Amino acid sequence: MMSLGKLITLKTNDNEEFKLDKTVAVKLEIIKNIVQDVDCTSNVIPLPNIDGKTMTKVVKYWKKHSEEGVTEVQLKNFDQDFLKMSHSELHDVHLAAKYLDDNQLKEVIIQEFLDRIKGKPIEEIREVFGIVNDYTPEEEEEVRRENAWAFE
Amino acid sequence: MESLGDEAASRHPKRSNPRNPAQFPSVSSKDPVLPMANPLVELVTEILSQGDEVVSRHPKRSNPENPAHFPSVSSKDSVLPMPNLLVEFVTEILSHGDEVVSRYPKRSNPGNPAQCSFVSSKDSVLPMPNLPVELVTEILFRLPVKSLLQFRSVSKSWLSLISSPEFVKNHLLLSASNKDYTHYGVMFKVASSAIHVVTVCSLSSLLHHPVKEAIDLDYPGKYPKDHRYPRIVGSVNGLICLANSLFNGVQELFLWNPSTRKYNRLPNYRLHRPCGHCCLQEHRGKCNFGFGYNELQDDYKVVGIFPAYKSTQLCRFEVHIYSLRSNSWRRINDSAWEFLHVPGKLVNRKLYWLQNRGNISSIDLGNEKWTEIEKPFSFKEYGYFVLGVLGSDLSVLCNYKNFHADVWIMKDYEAKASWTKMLTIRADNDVLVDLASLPPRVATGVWNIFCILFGLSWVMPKNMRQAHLSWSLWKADKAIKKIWLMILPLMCGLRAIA
Repeated sequence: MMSLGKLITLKTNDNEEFKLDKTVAVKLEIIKNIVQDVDCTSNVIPLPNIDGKTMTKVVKYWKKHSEEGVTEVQLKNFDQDFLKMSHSELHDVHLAAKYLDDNQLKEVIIQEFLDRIKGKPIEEIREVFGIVNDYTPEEEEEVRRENAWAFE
Repeated sequence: MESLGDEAASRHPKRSNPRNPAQFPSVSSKDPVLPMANPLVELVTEILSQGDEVVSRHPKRSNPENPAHFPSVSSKDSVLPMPNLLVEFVTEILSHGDEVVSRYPKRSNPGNPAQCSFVSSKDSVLPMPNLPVELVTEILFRLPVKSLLQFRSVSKSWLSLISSPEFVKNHLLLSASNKDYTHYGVMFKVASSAIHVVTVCSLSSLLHHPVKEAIDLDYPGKYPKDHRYPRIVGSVNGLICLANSLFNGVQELFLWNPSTRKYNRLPNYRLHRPCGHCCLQEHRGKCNFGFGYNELQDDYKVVGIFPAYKSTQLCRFEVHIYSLRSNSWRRINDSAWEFLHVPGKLVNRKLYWLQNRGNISSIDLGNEKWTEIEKPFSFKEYGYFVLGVLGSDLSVLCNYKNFHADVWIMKDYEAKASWTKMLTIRADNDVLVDLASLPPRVATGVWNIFCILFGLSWVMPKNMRQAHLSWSLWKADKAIKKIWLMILPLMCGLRAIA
């Protein structure tokens, strides 16, 4: 078992260290498991799949969401700001949340993607997901025609 | 006009084998006629676990086998003042944990064909932001069918992802477990100048802005200037079996996916015409149908029961069964019983009918054998009965002297059927729908929609009232005949019929 220090350190794959209050960290299933498994000699938890830039964001999110006395409105505003990032950054955070088994953060990211594509024309959807249209114009027209009502 | 899926499939043969049985989602065995079991549990679970609001909005899929995710029943008192009866019922439902949990999609399955097909065509995807298949799939799972139909034209790889049986199945499961019911549709039958119109709106919009978001749907077999009377035979996994009575009394049957607006007309059944005494008089309109799904065979079946008369004397019932896999009707063992003229109810691969003398008969969709269950002694005091599906159990609503009704559910299907009284509805109680004041058929409709949909009215009193209010307002506006049924969104088209 790990020693009962108040802080634990998360170390990303680019050797950035994040010191977290243990009460924040153990809320996360994965950290809890690691804390239980990790050798007692060190308080450092390696995160080989996450880089410092992404982890900064994740930690920022955790800290805000575990703050005491924070109101729902404040959290909502925070989330709004937090989610102002590029598609690929968003994706990195999603991967990190997935690795850290943080379902709440994962859902927030997915919801953000849903909001980004909501009501958008197909061309913009392709842009968001970085997809090249491999249909010929005729093929695309045909696929659209099959469910023409959905485009009304 | 008909068989819409096949057209598409033949033009893009690569995408999906039209005969591929796997195209239909194989949802767990316990699906009732209205596939509500899971949402019901979800709903209850949600209510019981108000603690982590955001996280609990979606099922914790990461650990689908863990029954511990169902909160313990003991936590509930603080949340809603529910009668003890309900507590028992909730416990009952939660004890189905294993079965319910297994219906959660397992998205991390490495063998997931949806993901594979997407990966294999990855060459069409730019290496720029290039969101991985997994995230894309997660996002697409949460979209309504209409958006998915649009997104088929994003790229070939998206088309194959969205059309893959695995995706269709998981999308259905996830939609079914969405506690906001965002993707559920509620259908209404509206009469305007004797033409029946089917209107559909999402359940969430029914609760909030019913009139704004409702759309009229063309149901299969609807013709202008025709006074046909469409009836729902049953609904499984987002598919509806619809029967239209033609003027000559023949029933025109359709399998319909209202989410994609595609349908197939079933081939005509051919009744056996014995030489001599009996003749089948289908124009008496006494034929009876049931619609079900057998996930063991991955086949949708329609059972038709046709009375045969000897002069005016009823002599037997000829039974024909339609299988979607073979797209044909077959005659099976006759039924010896006369049933009430209500479509069969599907529970656990069996279709149940109430006999006119009160016993219950069922046919197993697998081996096509009939079984009879005697009317329990405890039912003797009641007036009329309505068969239904509550959660994943067969239920009987027993009306007693028009001021109270009891709801029983059947447990233990294999051995002797055992009945448990789940709740009592009293006309003088503050219940939302006064079932006792309604004619049985209407009561059934209301019962189906409100009780099976929401679980029990006690579970969500506020929303129930809202729904009822919306419904009443709407009724004044739209001349609603009847709430038809609630339907799950199903992405896939119907399997093509050659």
